[in-house]
Amino acid sequence: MIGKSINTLLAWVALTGAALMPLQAAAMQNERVVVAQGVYPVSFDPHRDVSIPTINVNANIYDTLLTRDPDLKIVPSLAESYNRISDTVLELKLRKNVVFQNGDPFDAKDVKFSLDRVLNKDERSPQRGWISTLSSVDIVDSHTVRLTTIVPDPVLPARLTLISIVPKNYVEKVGSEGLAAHPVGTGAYKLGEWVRGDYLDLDVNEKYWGAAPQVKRARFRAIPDVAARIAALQAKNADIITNLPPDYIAPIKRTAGLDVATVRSARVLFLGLVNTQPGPLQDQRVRQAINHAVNVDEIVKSLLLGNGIRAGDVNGHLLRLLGHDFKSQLYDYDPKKAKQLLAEAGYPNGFSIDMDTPNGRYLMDRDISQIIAAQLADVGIKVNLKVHEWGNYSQMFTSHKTAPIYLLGWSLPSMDPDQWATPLLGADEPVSNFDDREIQDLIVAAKQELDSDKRLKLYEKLNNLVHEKAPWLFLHQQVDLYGVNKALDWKPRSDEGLRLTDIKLR
Amino acid sequence: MISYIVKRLLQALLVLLGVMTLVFFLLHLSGDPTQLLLPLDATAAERAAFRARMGFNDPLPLQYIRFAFDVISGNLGFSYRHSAPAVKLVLERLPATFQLTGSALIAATCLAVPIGVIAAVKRGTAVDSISMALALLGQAMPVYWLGLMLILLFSVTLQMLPSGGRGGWETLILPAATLAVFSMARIARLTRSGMLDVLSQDYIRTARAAGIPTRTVVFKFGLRNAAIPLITVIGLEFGVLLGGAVITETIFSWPGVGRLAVDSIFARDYPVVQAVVLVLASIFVLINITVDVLYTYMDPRIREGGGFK
Repeated sequence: MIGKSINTLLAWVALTGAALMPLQAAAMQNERVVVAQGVYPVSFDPHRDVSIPTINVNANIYDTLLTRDPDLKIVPSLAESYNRISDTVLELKLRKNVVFQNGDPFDAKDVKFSLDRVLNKDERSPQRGWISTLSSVDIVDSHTVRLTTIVPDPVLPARLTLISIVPKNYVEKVGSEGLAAHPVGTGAYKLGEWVRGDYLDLDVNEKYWGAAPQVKRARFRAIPDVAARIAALQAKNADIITNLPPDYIAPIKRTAGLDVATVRSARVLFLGLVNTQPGPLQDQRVRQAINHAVNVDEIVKSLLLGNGIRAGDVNGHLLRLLGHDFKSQLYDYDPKKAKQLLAEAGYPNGFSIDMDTPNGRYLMDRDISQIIAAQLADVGIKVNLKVHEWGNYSQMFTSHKTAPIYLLGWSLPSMDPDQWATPLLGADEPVSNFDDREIQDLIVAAKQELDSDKRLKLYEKLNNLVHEKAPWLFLHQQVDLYGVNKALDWKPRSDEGLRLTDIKLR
Repeated sequence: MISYIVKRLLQALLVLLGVMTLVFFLLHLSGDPTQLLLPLDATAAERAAFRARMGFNDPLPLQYIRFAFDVISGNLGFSYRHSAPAVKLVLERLPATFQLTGSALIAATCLAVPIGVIAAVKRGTAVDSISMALALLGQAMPVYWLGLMLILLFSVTLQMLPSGGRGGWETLILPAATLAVFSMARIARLTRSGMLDVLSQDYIRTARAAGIPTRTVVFKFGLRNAAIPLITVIGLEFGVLLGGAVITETIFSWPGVGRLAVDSIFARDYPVVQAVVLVLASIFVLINITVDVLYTYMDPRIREGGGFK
């Protein structure tokens, strides 16, 4: 009897297998592009979150007043043009004949409503800090608005690339929860079917004011496990996958129909060398010695398989991304010189010091820290390394509670050089653990300089000064890796942004 | 019987009260979520203002009392990150979790019980050794590895099944199979030992001596008696799987409660974590009560001798 049941069972298995064969769903069928990120967007209310995966989805549904093109240049979007009418007032002319996806016409009231919504403390928008230099938003006429800032703010246009414009009447009617459940923007795509935590569909917005995108339908999926994300790409269940680790480049390139897209990222990694607590790091020679003691080229080559570009200052890498020809100075790997500098500073036998690192937040973060700790030991600096979970770590480094040496990666979506300088090295900043008057004065000068050429010169000066004072152990600018279906013609952006309008079909 | 159930329900309330208190204080000991909610470049003033508006500055006991009153009035709070009530987020995910754990457990039981019975009946033979070796392997195999291997075989190489996500029934096969293997191993081993125990009893020998067919002896007299501890284990297994299928949910990007819990813990989204724990604890407690009640129906000794009629 048992033998008979097993036979029946086997027959069933064979039958089901055969029935499943036609189910293989190639992602490109029906011309739907499937993008797999590590996490699901937090909210479709575009003012509710600051994380890249959320911004990537909402940027396809909503527009901003200004935006960045694939080369990171600031270009018009819902605002057709802008000009400064005084040091603190920016006037924007709005695009006409734009409608929201629900049919509401777009005009100045929506701009004022959206910016005020982010600024309103009761709304508790985490994006408030991005535009907190704004003191008022005034409607001049139905398609002109004036933005007044507390101080001259050359960063304002870059800030405006971050704040989505939502429809006033609709949001007032349905509330924040309603907007999050049924988002309405002016963007190239509208939200279709979605299941929180799993996937969301975007369908092309026929009423879109800009050029019609080639991709008509797309799906964003959340696949948290990196191995599963890669399997999804190989199984043709996904067309673009984000955050590909370097050791998967070769297997993906070997798979027929798949390729790896790379881009120099705006994200830079470094080890903060805290000079606000008493200790050896207050001596510039010690900080320079640390920079000479670590072989960053070797770390990039062996751990990241070459996918990183050495950094030597605060925002030199960003100036280059923005198209400026700036050459960063780099520290040579020279353990002898490191020992000599340590001896000059009064530490001929080195010293012991604590170091903190997050685990799993940045590509190979913990491994990088471990190698550095070992290399520092070679010049006599005995490092006591502690590894932390990100949630805990973020509380530590935003309240000056890290060890004197700590690893951090930095990128902010505004792509303005100031957003690397002020938060990281400015005075009285929660994340800054380096106190230097000369650096701070230069940062403030650059931050308020409205002439872009003069501003650039100030940043060049700042970078050279930062290089010399060595507030960090300079590591590398990250290279972002994506797995891509070859049927797509797509170049990733340096700001980790993912706009479906950038994608062409081959 | 009714008074027994009422008594158990009252005990359950006490348990839930304890769970509620524990989860609140454990979570709040892990720090406040301001840093994770605001952009990294937020100024100190920005952070302080945000903290005050979210009520994170109030003394912990005051926050607890506020939370407890909210829970008692049925309000489990509003997610810090998602613009939605915490309980809604959890309830949204429950069907996916029930579907996955339910089918995994049904598949596991349907396969494991026959295997266990056969192994027990054929004790000491090759069939027994092979099935128990397989069971051991199933229990020892890491879920993460098994899941990835299944994806590699069925999605990447054969391209028969989707690699993840939740959609039609075809998306259920791989995650349910992965999850089932682990439970199957446990249930098969337990069925076998339970059956061996029962089959060596005097009444089985008597039944066999009386010439009752083997099938009747094994299934009617044997399995029915061996089933009593099995029900407890299967019931508890279901409870464990509800919240514990995180790894399977992660590999197969299955939008279940386990993943919601883990994501919310990493993001310090306290209301959601609290809601997940409370909802799952309630379900777990209910399953426990149900199992106990079933138990009394299955086992006349308890029903008649236990004193709660």
